[in-house]
Amino acid sequence: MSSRRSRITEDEINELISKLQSLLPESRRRSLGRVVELQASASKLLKETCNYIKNLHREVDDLSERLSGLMDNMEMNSFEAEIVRSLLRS
Amino acid sequence: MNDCVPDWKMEDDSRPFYGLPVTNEKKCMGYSCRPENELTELLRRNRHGVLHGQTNHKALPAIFESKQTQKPESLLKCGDSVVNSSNFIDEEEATSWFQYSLDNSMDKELSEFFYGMPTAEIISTDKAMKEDSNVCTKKSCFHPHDNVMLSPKSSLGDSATVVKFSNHRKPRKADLVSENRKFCEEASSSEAVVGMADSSSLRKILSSVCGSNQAQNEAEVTHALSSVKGAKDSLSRSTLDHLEANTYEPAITSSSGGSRRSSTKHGLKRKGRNAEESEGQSEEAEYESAEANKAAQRPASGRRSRSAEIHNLSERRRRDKINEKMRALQELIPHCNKSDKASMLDEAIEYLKSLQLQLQIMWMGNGVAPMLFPSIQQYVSCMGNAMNHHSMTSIPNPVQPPKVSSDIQSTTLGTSISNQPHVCPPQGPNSINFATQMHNFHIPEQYSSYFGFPQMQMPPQVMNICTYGPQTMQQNQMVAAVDKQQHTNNKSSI
Repeated sequence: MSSRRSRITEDEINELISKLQSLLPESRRRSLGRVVELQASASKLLKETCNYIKNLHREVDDLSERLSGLMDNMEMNSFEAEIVRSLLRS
Repeated sequence: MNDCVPDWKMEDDSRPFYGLPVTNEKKCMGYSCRPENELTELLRRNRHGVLHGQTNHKALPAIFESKQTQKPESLLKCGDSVVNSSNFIDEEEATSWFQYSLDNSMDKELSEFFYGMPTAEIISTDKAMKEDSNVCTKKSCFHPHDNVMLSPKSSLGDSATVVKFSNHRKPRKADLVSENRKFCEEASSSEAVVGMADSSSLRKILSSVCGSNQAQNEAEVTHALSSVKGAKDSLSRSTLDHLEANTYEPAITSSSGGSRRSSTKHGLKRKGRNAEESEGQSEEAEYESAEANKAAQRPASGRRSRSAEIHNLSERRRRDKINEKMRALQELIPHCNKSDKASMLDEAIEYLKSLQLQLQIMWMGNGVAPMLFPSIQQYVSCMGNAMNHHSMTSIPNPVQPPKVSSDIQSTTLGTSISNQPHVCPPQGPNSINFATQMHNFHIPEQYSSYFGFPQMQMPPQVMNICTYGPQTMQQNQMVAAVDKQQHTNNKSSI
């Protein structure tokens, strides 16, 4: 029962985990031809993901500030301003 | 504690412990001290009871001997793992021990012996022992050695102990019912009222938890015990908690806590000692002693179950950690209402991708070309071409256009590489960035749900913006951007 269900979704989960791992800016050994060390346990990976997302959030905030700063220097009607505004809107 | 711990450690070293050093230690602390006393008593008792003249006697005598000569722990060799793991799995141990004993030797002999052991803890009444043994055997009997268990009962005593086991084991055996009954009887009469109280409380909990025939047994027991319960409410509560958690995991100690509690119960029964000891302490000690007893009794099955229990515990802990992290992740992701792992991970992956994409675009919008592939000029031109189709309009609806544009762009990219329009040069860096992005992320639109992002519309305009910005800055950025983009692109393309 639980084993069945877990077996069915376990592969799924493993695949998702590996996908996630690939997205993370892990410090792989580039020298080894980008051999990925799959020593990440699920919990470690999740933790890394959380941290990474937080970092990205911070980066987005930072960039948004910069963009808004840029906006001040742009003409209001140029499409750059439009773009920036759209960027900020997202 | 310290004195107890060293004992255990020494014992463990001498014996083939199954690797529960750390956890056990703590538990053993209070536990180890007691087991000695208990064991000796048990041994003595068992000796009488067990030596029924079966071939397996030697097993028992050996145990006796070891006990007598050394500390009780030594006796618990087989059970030492149990003892150690008693922390985790009080119940399990007991049962495993019982089984173990049964398996190894003459079931009867051993069962009696074993029963005596655990009962020794409680040592409430001799006559209770009989019952206890019966009960214990029933309960803990993993193996189909029930008959064996029943026989030696006479020598065994503490009904409380029996009850304890039954409490723990309730989910396991149907025998519990009978045991419980016996226990109830014994309990009421035995001195280990305190222990009983706990067990009864535990039983109640167990019964509620189990909700099966076993529960009935529990109920019976609890009834008997409830009358006695009084002082040990707190203890029973703890045990109950354990039981609830653990009861339904016969083979696997639902948790060390549960086992702890069950052992505590044992302790209670032990001789009303529980009443004297502080609840926490007594529980621990009793637990340990119970475990020790159990351990001694069942060598093989104990080990197996013990390791299984340990494994379960660690597995559970690991799972808890992972669940906790999943929850944290869920909080980070906006508008995530999924609760199952797979979809959560899916969402996380998408969100992460979209975040990365957004960042790239923002970088570009900032006039900084985070990643530029100088060689992707052709892409740029293509992008420019493709985008030109859409770029005339102002930034339209964020969601819709991106889809359309992405399709066009991806196709355009592929097909119109040859186009090298005039547009290329100025748009170099940003276009490249976008081109690569678009190329790799075929599904930017799925991200727009996160951002409401006019991604598709961006490229041409962004490129324009980039042209506005200082070329030098872009150049500088290029180097850094290339690396980053490469990295990101590679990732996304994976």
